[in-house]
Amino acid sequence: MKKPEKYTKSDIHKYKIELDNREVLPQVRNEKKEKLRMILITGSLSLFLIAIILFTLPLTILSWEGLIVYASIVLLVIFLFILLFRYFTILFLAYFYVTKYTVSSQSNFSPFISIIIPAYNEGVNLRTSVESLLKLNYISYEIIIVNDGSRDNTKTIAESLVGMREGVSSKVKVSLINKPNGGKAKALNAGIQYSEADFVVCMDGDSVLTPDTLKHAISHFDDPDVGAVAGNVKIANRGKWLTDLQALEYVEGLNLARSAQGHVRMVNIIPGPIGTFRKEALRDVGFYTSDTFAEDADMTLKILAVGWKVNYEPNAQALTEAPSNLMQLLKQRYRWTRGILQAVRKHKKHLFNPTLNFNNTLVLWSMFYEALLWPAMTIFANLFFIFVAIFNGMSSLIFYWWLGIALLDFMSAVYAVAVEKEEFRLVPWAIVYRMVFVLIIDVTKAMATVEEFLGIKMEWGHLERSGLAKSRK
Amino acid sequence: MELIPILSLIILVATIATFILAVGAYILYKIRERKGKTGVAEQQAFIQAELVTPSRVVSETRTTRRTRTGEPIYTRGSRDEAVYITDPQLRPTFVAPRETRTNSSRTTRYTSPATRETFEADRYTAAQKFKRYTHPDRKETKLKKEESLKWR
Repeated sequence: MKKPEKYTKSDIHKYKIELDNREVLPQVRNEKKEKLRMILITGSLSLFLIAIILFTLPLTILSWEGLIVYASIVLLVIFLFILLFRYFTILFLAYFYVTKYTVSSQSNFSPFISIIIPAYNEGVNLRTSVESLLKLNYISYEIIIVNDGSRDNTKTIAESLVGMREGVSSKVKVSLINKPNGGKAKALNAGIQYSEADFVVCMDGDSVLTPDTLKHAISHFDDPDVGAVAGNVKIANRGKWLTDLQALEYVEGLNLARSAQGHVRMVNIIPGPIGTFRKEALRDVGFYTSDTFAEDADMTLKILAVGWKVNYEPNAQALTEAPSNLMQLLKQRYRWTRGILQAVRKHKKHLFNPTLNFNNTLVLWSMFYEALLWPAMTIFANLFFIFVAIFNGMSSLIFYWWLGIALLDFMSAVYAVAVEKEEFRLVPWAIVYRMVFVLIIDVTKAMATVEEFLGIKMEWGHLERSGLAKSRK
Repeated sequence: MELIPILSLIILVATIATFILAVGAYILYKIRERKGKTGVAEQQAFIQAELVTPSRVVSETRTTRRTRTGEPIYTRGSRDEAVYITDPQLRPTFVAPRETRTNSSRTTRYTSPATRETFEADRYTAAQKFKRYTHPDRKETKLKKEESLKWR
């Protein structure tokens, strides 16, 4: 076993620094005016629709009850078509990407990189996380830990990690910035202010990177049009039904979609646990801002809006700790949904004006669909089938609906697991994935959407950690 | 009894149970969240922080060598000296974002034209001095010289 390196106090230097805490924020929204406008538009549209129905219904053979059933069936058929289109588009694009990726050669581009770890109460995971970074198969990089005013032992652990540490290829400088609590975006900005590299890797304090992550991620920047590269996030703490379902969700739901987006070089969310950025791209967009609860989605949209390409690198892998109980999972998804909606709203001029940047409009509409329309349709479909089963006695419909979706999920899961060389034991979870896991998540998403539109205040919150080192054993 | 009605019943019950679970869990989550609500602190423009680093923060300054009496010694090049600083300068992150990406910054950054002939030590940086005979600029000047030669 390797002897731990010892540092005397004279090797470590402490400086008082002044961090720039300002952010480039958009104009302050007039929420009252926005709400009033929304009520007026939706109200007048609903009145217009009701007037059309009242006027045209007597001209048809439909009764009120018949109209509701007919409209529901039409909606479900449309949803089914969109669902199939989405599934097969993602599968084909992901396949094209993987094929292209397999044949393309890797470059020898290896500039100096700064890895920034924002840490808030990450005492349980920080050491494991930094130790994984010291095993990276890359020639020149530094590690900057930003302690964002943690209330646990993060500061003590981080200070014990500072030093010129032994890496795989060279000595690695580990520095620490202790700052008052201000949120992840400000912590990342603090690390960027100190970083001297042209490329930065932003990760989470609870993530562990695999040895070839930097080598694979940085090779994309050989192309001067690439502003950022999204990595591949995997679940470290598996073994429980909830974390196994999340592991399947990350492989089938998130990474497969990211591969498809990677084919068109328009990844819509660079995940928080692993994102590599060209500093010039970060500068172009005014760095991180903390006005949304999904700073990663906001940053990606800003980078895409300015005209940079965002690639996906499946071999840049980060292992992260997933919420292991339902409350923590709902907390995480609630924040994600509201954060994504806030980011989409921030970029709404791109949403309604495709002449500004057509790609960005496409990305925003797809995000809007995934965050808002998809959960609403899933809930509606399930309620409809429950209703017709109880009141009309057509209980077989819900079975066929479930069977169709489960088959689609099963097929995607087999493909995604095979491509990512993941554990095949995750595949059977596809049977209950849509009907149980996704439905629970979608109810939270729908509620979060309603709350976001009503403007109910929310807080960032913090997820409970049990430790990556424990889950990796 | 047929299989499909049994399976349909199972799926129906499972879906209803999931719905109840989802809505119940959401309500419970909101109740728990409401209990721990705290105020948001006002953010300052600049904040004091502490930097802990293994190496001393260095800033390079160009200095002119002087004699004991204080007169400057004129050499072909001035010297870069490492100066340890007590107040590290950080790069600002409060910058105006661009509307669209431009390539101008990159081109000016990597191709700065040489405006005057200087000493060889000035023309090559520490990293370039080992490439002085294989550097592309060197080949170009050599070619130009060859082109300018005329048979007499």
